[in-house]
Amino acid sequence: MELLIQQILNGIIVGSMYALIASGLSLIWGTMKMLNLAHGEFYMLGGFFMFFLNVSAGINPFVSGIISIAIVFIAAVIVQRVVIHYLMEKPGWTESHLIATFGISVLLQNLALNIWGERFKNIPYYVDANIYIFGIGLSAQRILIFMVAVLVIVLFWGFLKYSRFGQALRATSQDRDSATLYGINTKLIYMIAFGVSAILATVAAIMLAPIYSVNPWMGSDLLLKALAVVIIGGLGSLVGAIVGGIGLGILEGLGIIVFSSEWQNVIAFSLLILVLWIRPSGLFGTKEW
Amino acid sequence: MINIRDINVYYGDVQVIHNLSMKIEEGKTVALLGSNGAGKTTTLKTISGLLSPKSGEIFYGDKRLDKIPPNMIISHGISHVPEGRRLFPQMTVEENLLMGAFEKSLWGKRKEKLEYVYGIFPRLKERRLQHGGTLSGGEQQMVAIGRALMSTPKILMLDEPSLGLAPKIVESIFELLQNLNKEGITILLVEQNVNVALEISDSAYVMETGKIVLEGNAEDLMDNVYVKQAYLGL
Repeated sequence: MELLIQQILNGIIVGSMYALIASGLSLIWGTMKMLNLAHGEFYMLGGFFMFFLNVSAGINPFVSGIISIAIVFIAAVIVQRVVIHYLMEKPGWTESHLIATFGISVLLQNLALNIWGERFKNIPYYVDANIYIFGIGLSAQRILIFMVAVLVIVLFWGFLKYSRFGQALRATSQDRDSATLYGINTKLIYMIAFGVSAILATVAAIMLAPIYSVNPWMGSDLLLKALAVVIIGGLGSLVGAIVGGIGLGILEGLGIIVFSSEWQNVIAFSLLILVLWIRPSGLFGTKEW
Repeated sequence: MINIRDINVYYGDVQVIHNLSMKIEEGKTVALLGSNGAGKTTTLKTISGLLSPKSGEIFYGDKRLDKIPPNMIISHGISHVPEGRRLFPQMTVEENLLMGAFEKSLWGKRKEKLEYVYGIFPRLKERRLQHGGTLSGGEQQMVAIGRALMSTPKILMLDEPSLGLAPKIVESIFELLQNLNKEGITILLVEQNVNVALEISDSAYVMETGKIVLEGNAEDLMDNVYVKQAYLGL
């Protein structure tokens, strides 16, 4: 029984990070109608910058995190402006963006491999303690992960719902021409959306790096999972990304009790296939941003 | 106020507007008439910058409108109510209206503007938290016009505001347009509903396959045999 609750809690915690990564993917889908196959690489970049700042340079985790976020945001905006921006204006966008983002993904992975090497790098826990909730022990690091996830999702939601810029972003995703007519610079919106989505991936990388590790391929595994989450939750739906992410986390946690941890992806993709059978648009698939 | 000189507009390789010239004078209501596919919507889209002419010029006073990026047009006081209303379907009525005042100089005054629009359309205040996509056609048109009015326009361009609406609602919308015109807003009205449009307009242009085939003041056009045959069914 204790193991069961332990695994559910762990599932919620890891799932909250899936939710963050998937929200970014979903944001990009919602605004630009594209799947960003390089999303995992922004996660990877986030992990590396965090490692260099926090471990190599010894800067405190909070400041390192903020700097990493800023760097990855700028990198993502540049990628959008230099590659995506031009493709969006041209015919064949529905296919070209997949090839382009896949290319960016391969490029960034190999850059990381060549510059930073293939050795797995570890980041120590940011907080080192155990907290007991109803007699169940959890590391403070995991509690911190969950708190950060909730905070970031609430901030992100508030940004979309109440800020002038967030409203413009939603308006653009719902009707680009109308948005333009009412003074919104949609090209700028696309750049910001791309950057914000990379921020969400970076936050997840910063929080998960101490549990997993930092390496050039860390993003591809998570991208697969995030793809499963957004398809299960419904592409373009923020609620879907959150529910899908946490749901998948719990299911994986429980799966470990029954099978072993190698079966994680089998569980994720079985669920994906199941959802596609029963509800092809995903659980929350019809709503736009 | 707006002076269109000899514009040619293309969709890809296909020319849809041929040597079109038009004048919209300040304080007037001008109708742009014609059947489906004549190029009326394209003309409006070209004025508001969503499309750019391959040749020709659009002057707004002495400014070149066709050189201004589309999202900056509204800050010059030109507001476009697009065909089919084009609301933001997942945003509430109020959020939709607020987007009309997105422009930096207007955002600070959005609360007052909102009250002004609710004054014109009390129904929208009742529905302020409802999503744009769940409204009736008439209410959607109110939101679309309200959103345009949020930007304090000098020129209001409307693309088929009567489309798909009951005659009674059409009547009240046209009455509103007349009132707005009296308040000093210049109106460019694209319509297939020729009769009603000519009634409230000062002058009109008739388009056919991308060209202006007829122009003149509204009363004369009402009597024009050609218009009668082609559009009024007389």
